[in-house]
Amino acid sequence: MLKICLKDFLAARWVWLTAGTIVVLFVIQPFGNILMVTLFGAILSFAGLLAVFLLEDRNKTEIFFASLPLNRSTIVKARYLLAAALITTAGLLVFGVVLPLGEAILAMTQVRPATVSSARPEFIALFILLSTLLAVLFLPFQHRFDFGRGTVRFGFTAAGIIAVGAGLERVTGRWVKIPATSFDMGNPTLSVMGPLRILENLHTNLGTPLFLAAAVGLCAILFLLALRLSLAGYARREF
Amino acid sequence: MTNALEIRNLRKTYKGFALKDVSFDLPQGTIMGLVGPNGAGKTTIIKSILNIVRRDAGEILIYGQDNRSEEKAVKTRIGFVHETPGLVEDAPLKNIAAAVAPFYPSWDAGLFKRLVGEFELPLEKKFKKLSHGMKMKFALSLALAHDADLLILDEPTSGLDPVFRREFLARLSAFIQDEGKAVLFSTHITTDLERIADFITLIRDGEIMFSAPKDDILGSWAVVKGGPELLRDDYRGLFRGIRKRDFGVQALTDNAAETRRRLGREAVVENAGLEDIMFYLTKGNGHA
Repeated sequence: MLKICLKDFLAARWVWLTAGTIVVLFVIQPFGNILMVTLFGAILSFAGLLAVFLLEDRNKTEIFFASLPLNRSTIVKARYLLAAALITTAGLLVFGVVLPLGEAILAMTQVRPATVSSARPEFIALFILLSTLLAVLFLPFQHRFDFGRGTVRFGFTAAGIIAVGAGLERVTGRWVKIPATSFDMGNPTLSVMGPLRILENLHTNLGTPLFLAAAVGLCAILFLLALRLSLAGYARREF
Repeated sequence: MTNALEIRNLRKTYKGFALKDVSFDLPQGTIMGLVGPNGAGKTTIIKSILNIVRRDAGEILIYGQDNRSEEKAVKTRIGFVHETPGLVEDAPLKNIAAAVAPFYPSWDAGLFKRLVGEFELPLEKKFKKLSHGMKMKFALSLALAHDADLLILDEPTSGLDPVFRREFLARLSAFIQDEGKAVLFSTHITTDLERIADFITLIRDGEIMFSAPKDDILGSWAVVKGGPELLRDDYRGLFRGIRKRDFGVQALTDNAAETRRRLGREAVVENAGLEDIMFYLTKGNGHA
């Protein structure tokens, strides 16, 4: 599996490097806020994954790749390993490197950057969950169909989920009152505030270690479900 | 000795096209030309061998191993070259080779270096900067450097200039000097096959028309030229295809000796080339 990841790294490394640089520039610029940084980080991890499939499609390397001495299941598992590695790397880059760096660089100025202290566990959990959701929605379609058809189906499904989620939030909001949290002081009209309020309440009830473990556990379950779908889809795939 | 490749009753159905019970053997130490018009099913057969399309029925054995249940082991023994090699366009050749090599336990770095030198391939150059001929040579180098036993080539010479083509074919002939190796080579350039193939398999509309040693085919098939008397019912059984022309009738027979004996001076019987055979068998009966 590592050989496949290495192959993908060699193919996509310049795209990843460019995307990483854009994030660094975005995060350390003075108007960044932690919510945008979190969302941007999730998009970065997804863009890295998307680039691998996009390059494979553009270079038409799929047939050559499929002719290598590999079982189909190994190819699929390697892509999930890659997705997990990209999410981890993007997370470490954003929360572990760029935020402290931005804070250090801008400490002496009057501007107020997104900071390490503002990166509370809720945002880390939000990052992990969003990145995972994007990956687990995208990968089964890519493995069952080619890049073009897979991406269109992913787009429609993602749009459908967002629409249903927004609708549910509106409907349940009339009956279920989620306790207000510190996030509401920012921009209460943002639709992401609902999930954030849920996350903060969960965090308060579970404590930080259990809360983060629960987020990672949920992501692992989602990954396993998507992996099963991808394995079944790729077994039927023709080139 | 086990055949390098055995295909038995292979079936694959698409909308508007089907492979119908395709069967043939490729012995070790030989080159087989898989020939047929565009859309006949050559590429589908090759993709089925590589298990990149899923067969509906039948059996494909490579050196006695099933290509599905033993997929990894089988693919280790196969070298594949596609008509338009799909490799990372923006990567230098040395990086592509570095990415491919770890997949093959038998990758021979020394042999790869020799091939690169022989083919004058610029390892620092990006793949997209190569000409079509150089791309084919690089793809062939990758296929040969892991000591493949069975080379599968899908239309490898189309788009190559005659000098490149000769060089390419010479390399294939050298490859099978090792008796355990074999080459399956799909093409519609019949002169290439006349030059190097030991066996010819002709496919039309997903059906194998014949699969036999080239010398047997060229020795027994003939083009018959004569007048309208060739259309007589007692002669028709001799022919596999008949074309009526303004100045007479031309036909193809797979029994040149019998045709010469029966027609005597009534017609001219000339040895058929592969192109003649392909033309008559794929165009069938008609007027030209």
